[in-house]
Amino acid sequence: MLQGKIINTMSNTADAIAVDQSRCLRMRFNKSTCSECIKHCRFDAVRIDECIDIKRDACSECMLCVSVCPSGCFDAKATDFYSLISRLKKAVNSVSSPVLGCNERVDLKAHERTVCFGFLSEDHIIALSVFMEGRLQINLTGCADCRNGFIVDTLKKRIGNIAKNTSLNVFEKICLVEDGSELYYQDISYDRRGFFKAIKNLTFLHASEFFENDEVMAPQSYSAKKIPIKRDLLNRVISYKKGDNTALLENYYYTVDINEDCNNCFACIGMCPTGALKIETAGDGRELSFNTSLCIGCGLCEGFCINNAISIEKGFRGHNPFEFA
Amino acid sequence: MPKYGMVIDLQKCVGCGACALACKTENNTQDRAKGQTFNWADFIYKAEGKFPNVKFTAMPVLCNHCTDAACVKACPVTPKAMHKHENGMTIHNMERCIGCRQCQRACPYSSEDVDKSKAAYSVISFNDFSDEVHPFYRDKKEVVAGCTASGAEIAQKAGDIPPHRTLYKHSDYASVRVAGKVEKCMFCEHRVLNGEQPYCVASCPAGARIFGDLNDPNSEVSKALKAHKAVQLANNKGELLKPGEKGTQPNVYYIRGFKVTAKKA
Repeated sequence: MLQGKIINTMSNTADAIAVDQSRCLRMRFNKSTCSECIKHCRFDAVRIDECIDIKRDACSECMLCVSVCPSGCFDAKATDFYSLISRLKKAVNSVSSPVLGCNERVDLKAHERTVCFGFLSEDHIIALSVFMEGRLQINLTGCADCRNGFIVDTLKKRIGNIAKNTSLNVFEKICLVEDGSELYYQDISYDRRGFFKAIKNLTFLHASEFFENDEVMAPQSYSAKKIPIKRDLLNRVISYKKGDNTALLENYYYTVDINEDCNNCFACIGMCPTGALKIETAGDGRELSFNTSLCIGCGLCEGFCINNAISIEKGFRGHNPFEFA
Repeated sequence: MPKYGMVIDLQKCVGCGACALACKTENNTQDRAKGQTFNWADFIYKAEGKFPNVKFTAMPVLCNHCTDAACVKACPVTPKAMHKHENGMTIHNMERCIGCRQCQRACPYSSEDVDKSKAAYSVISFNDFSDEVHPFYRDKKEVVAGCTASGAEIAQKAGDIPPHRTLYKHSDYASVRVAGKVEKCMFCEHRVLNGEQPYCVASCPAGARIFGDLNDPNSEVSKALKAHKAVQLANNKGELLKPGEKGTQPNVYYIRGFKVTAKKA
């Protein structure tokens, strides 16, 4: 396995996007009509029939599918977003406003690089704006003549949505730089000790990414409950951010209502891809309980319930988003 | 490609239950609990009438591996967890099963709760999300307090749950189930692929179960079906398909049904 991985990395033939079939809503529930990835793909590279697949030769690796999929079926390989955030946070110690660049244009200036910015969903951007101390510049100066240039508009729209939906000062925190003259890039200067330390850190980082990435490849059981990185990021934001999170809970979380037609068959628990529904023992009976921090609002439970007892709506108005209730 | 089916000779069957026990050991199924039978091979017992005019019938039942399987149609995942193999068997893939129980609802031979619905048996059983399988062998309570070992102790000594676990490998199903998934008779495909008979067939002391290829006119099953008038079950209450009725086209047939009546003096 390791040998194959090394060869793949060397020859760069590994697919840029890993597809976890068991997470796809259409694969899980044959009546689901979700087609977010297909709708957003400009190159007709996503194929859904007996399985879900990305046509490698058609895919431009814009990563939009990664960001729009509600259930985290796609995974942009070689992007550990958590470590990216911590590296960017570290960069703030040396420069006032770190620059995030993309792997496609290594000639453009950047402190950290990642895959095409199409993978930055609203949830990702919220996490960046909350966790970053300083201002983050996203280097889009190469986008104008890139086949994936359309993601600039998508990013703008997403940032606009966040500004509309929440009180986060996202425009101040996240700066989309399209014009080279507007880019404010400070070199991180190293003394001798700092230089070797930086090399050591970088080597460790790449080595750990290299070995850790295997998890993505393991085929998942359909019954495994897993929340997508988007949901996890927002959960981290909510628990990190002290104070009023009403706007976030209202716009990015969901409530499941169970009416009196529910006969406690608990079939929806199996259907739920993330484990947001659970059996709770109440007195001598058992009842359905729901946890919004695990809900991605995919609506499979609503569509699946044979008694039409479930309805799902946007916004969480309970007390603790991390509790089953 | 063969199309496997089974013929059960009711005049040979003595209702001893060897098939049911054989199945439980071969497939490591757990004990009946909470309206789930976990018996892949089971019986319909009927006692009718009033002494001395009584009638007793025992009818061995199992998954009918229907050609037009309702459970397969109902399965919501892609590729289907409950699916037909080319050899006619209805096989359940454990990896893809999400435990929604649609198959159990759709199957005419299954009940969500056999106790509540007063069904004789259920082809498909469901392992609850919150319970671990084989609770008996996880229970640390002595079976007879102060006297015997506990189930957990036996399992620990044997090194497996259940202690008598038959280890077999199949690409779709494991030898022991896990919580949150359904289970049912697989026609012992793991044995059939190795050229063996399903274990219930191999264990029947009376030779009442005949298993084989329905497409092959020279197979034992085809010969038995030709020689005798066969009936098929319509549901898990013991009703039969009426002549001309297709149902879900079950592939388990019963021949030589009989009625025993007390001789009138």
